Order: sequence, then structure tokens, then C-alpha cells
Amino acid sequence: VTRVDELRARLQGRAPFFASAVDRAEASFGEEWSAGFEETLTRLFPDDDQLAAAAEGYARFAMDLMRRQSRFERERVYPAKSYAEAAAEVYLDADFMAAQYLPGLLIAHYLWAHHYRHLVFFERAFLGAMAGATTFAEVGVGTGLYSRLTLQARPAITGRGYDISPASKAFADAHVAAFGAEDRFETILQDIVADPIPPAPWLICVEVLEHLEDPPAFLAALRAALLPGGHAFITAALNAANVDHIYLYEGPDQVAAQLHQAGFETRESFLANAYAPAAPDTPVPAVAAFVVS
Amino acid sequence: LSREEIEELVRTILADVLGLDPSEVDDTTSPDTVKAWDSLQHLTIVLSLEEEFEIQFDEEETLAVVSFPLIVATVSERLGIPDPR
Repeated sequence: VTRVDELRARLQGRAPFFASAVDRAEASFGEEWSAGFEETLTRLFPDDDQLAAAAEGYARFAMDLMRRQSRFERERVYPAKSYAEAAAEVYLDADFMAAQYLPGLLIAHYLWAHHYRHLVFFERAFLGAMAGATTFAEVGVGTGLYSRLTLQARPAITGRGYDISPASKAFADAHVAAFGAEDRFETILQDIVADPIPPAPWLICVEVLEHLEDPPAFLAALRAALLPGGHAFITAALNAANVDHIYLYEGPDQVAAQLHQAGFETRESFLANAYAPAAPDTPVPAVAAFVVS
Repeated sequence: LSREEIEELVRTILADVLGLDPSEVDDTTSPDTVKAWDSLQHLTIVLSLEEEFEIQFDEEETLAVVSFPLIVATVSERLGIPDPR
């Protein structure tokens, strides 16, 4: 029995309507998906109790989002919430982060088609261009997934991950250590707008912008954190009513315009929707990704 | 509402959402036996139940109402209707 099979069985027992997501992703993405997800589950949740807890976290994470998305479809706005309120409710709630948010988000990167397609795009368009790179930084390290993939793909590279959440730092540290790369990676609790970071030649910033009250101010800080001639991988969630999304992007052009305003030049971009809309005017969660310099 | 009336209303909601004849809804009706009962349909069922019975399921209940008998039991408990068994 593989860990993917075990996760499917756990979901079947707890929230059976989510178990088919494993089958769909497996059928859509094939062996590469299976190998990547299997390795992730094996390294991060090696015993059955850990995997059961992760499955529980995913079920709660996904159902919470679906309820919020249903409300968003009617109201077309995110509930008014400040960054400080989102931070207190989510990022600084250690139990919620560890039990639900972080395992849920990590598993969603493999079970939700738009998230997995972004991993594939990241590996091709960004990691593929990093030959010879010696250092990188990730801002908003979250689960540590993108940093870990970078450390795995580039065995000589070293990196730093920045986040404001102690729970994210702990999860990302454990994630990287589970892949034996802890000697090449350091996580730091730091708000890069209030406290600028040393510039890096390769920057990763995945789904941070929609969590902010003032994305342009953040992008200005991110631009200053990129060395001249460097490259960045920057994404934003669109029309996705997660508990901590406070800035609504309705289309990729809004993100592209803010990137341009901050001084970034788009090299390549990618957009993926979570699913087909139930009606033509129904907003659908999506992620827009940009490779910029 | 009586327990029987709750059963009939739940049966109607499940039949409507899952595309079943009401006579097909029985104690075995669940995501294990009805392929159409996926996550989106589950949310539709939950929201329909909340509207019909003017209740709000908590997070645990939202995940736990995964069969006809479990839904009837949960709604009945919320409405203070005693379990006859």
C-alpha cells in the first residue's frame, strides 16, 4: 500500500466525497504526479497517525474554502478583513496552522489541478533556468514546498525562506529537513516590507500578494530584493475566497500590471483555473504565475 | 417537525441534488453508493439542508453528514427531535 493509497483510504473514511480528488489527479497527471506526491507524503507523514492528521487537515481546509467560495460566488467580494486580522486568525494561530492550514495547503498542491499545474510550470520555466545558480530566496515560504523542490533540483544551491508565521517556519524547516537539505536552507521570521532583505539572484514568491492590503508596496520591496539581472517566480491567487485572502484579483492582468508598475519585466506567464465554471459568469479560483526579471 | 417529516424533507433534498428518484434514497445512500455525491454536491446538500431547516452546521457536522441516516440524525438532533431508536 502506497502513502497515496493510504491518504485516499483516510479521506474515504473521513470525507468520502474528497477521495475522488486523488483518483482524478492520478488519472490526469500520471506517473510523475504519483512519484512526487508519494515522496512528499512518505517523507513528511511517515507514520499512519501523521497521515491521518494530514488527511483530516486537508478535509477541513478544503471544506472551509468551498463554503467561503460559495459565499464569494454570490457576493463577488472577499469579506472585509485587515492584514492584522488575517494574521491573528491564521498565520499566528499555531494550532490552526499546524493541524489544518499547512497540511491542507500542501496536499492541495497535489490534489487541486490548478495548483499542480503551477508546480509543473515552476519546474519547467523557473527551475529549468536555474542551471549554475548558487543561491535563492523565497518570500512567504509557507509549507516550504517550492523551496524544497528548488533544493532538491539543484543539489549545490543554498537558500533562505522568509515568512511572518512561526508555524510556517517550523513546518518549512521540517519539510526541508525531511529531504535532507536543512544544511543548505535557513528560514527567517521577517516582514520584508518593514525590514528589507538582502537581494538575491533568484526569488520565489508564491501566492502571497492576495494576502496583503497593499500588494504594490510589497512588490516594491520584492523588486528591491532581486539582484540586477536576477529572475523571480511570482504568483497570485485569483477569485479564491480562502480564509486569509483579503486583496481580490479578478484576472491575471491586474497582477501583471502591478508587477510592471513595480519594475518587473514579464518573461513568461501561466494561468490555470481550478475547474470549469458552473455558469459563464461564475468566478472560478485560479492562479496566475509569472517568471519576471 | 416530526422525525418522519425530517426524513421526507432530507430524502427530497438528496434526490434533487443527486439526481435520484426519492424512492431510491434509503439508509445506504452515501458517497460510497452514489457516484454523483462528490465534494461539490456535498456542499450543495449541506447548504440546502441549512436553508430548509434554518440551521448552520459546524465544521465537524459539515464533514460528518455523509449518509441519509447520518443527515437525518444530525438535523433531528439540531432541531431537538428525539431519536426513536
